[in-house]
Amino acid sequence: MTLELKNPHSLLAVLETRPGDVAEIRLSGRSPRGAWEEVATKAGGLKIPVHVGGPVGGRRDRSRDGGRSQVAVGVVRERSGVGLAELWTGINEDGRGIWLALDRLQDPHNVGAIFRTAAFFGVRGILLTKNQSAPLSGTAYDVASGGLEHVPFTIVSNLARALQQARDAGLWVLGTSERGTQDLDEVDHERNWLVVIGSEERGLRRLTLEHCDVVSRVSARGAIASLNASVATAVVLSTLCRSG
Amino acid sequence: MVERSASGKGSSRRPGNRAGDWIWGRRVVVETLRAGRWPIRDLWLADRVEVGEVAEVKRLAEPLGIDVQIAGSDALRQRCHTSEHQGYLARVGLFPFENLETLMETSSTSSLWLLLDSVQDPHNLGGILRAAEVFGVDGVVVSGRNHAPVNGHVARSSAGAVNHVRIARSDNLVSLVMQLRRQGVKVVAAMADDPVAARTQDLVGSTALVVGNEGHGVEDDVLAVCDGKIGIEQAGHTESLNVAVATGVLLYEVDRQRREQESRS
Repeated sequence: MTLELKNPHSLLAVLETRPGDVAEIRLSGRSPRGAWEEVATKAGGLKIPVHVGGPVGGRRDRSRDGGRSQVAVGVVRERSGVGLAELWTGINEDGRGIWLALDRLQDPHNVGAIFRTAAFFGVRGILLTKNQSAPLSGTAYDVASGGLEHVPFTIVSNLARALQQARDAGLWVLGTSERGTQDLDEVDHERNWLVVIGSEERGLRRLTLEHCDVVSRVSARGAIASLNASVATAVVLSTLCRSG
Repeated sequence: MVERSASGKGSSRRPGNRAGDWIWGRRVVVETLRAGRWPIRDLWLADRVEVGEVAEVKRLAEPLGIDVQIAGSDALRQRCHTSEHQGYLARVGLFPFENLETLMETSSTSSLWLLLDSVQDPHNLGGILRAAEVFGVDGVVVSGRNHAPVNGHVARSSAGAVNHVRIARSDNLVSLVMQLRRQGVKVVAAMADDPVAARTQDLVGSTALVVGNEGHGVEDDVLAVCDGKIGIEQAGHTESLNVAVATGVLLYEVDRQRREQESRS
């Protein structure tokens, strides 16, 4: 399946990591600016078709590149996931590692934001649920701003079984919930963790919780008891990744 | 520059392009009514909204002198140009920013301020406000020519926090930073480049965190008057975190240090 990407930074990441999957670039104007200029140059150098001036089909992108309106998209093949066993490879190499599992997240913005954050913190792999979950759409790729190219992922239809396999492979499973029993900062960060993030409305499912070795809470003082899923993920990752 | 291109034909009618225009969605509209801070001019409910919910909204709206109008779902969508309204739509007045001086009088030995230097994307602003509420920020100050207006998109991505967090505006962030420092507040800029890890900094006393624009970060003149810059230890290879995500992580760190301090004393 192909996707239309509208964020030049997510396209640059595809051009760097798997240029063969870029079908074409479509630009509205003859002189692309900023990151789009870089996209056009790179694509041209790789002999990827760059169409200028024709119908583009993307919405206006005025948030970047000096704020002037610019219409541009890149058509790319979606990235393929890896097999489950492959996701855990490297578990015993170079010290501790962190993996993520997303339990039926609904919002592609959150999924994309989590991939961006995961790439920043060097997450080794992400498990995604297949059913009743936000798909890896162009929006997710664009919000990830390149993050979707750097973190391997696997889409599974049975998360509970995948969590069991992770434990068999030697990972510890950490759930996050407002009803968690341990403060995040007390979690032993010297282990290999698979962190499970619950959906925006419902949190972690019961069966998912049963497969967690530890359920922690992000203590907070304010009136809204919960953080946005991508912010909560970043808080957990930054705490587990700390060097001290 | 941005404002001009954004007001092209047709696009100005989309929700959020004019400050203080529409808010939509059940949670946001009901929270705004309850909080009574952001003035609601008109209120529509879709005819499919349950009788009990209509009665609840009327009970909240009546003391404020707001008529509740019932219309078809499509009529609501045509007004706000989004189908995400869940049967709830309101036309609001301009967002009532708090007076900056009044806000600054709220001082304590461990106050926490968030200064936003031209944060441009409404979703980022909403996400920041949500995190600000969760971590008990005393006040948020928005600044800069291109800062995102507080509108329906911000209200929605803030999950209602826009009604609870105290928000003021400043047209001179440099002088605000200097004023805060005179009051004994430690002012630190959140930086992607060359930061000092937040965990190594003492953020227990009164602190103000300066957060910059999505593209170019905190302006140099503001950075020059800050006490220092802090950031998040990176382990991977993407260049940066999203600004709302980074703000959430840094606010968590402030909160963590303060909880740790409380449990010690």
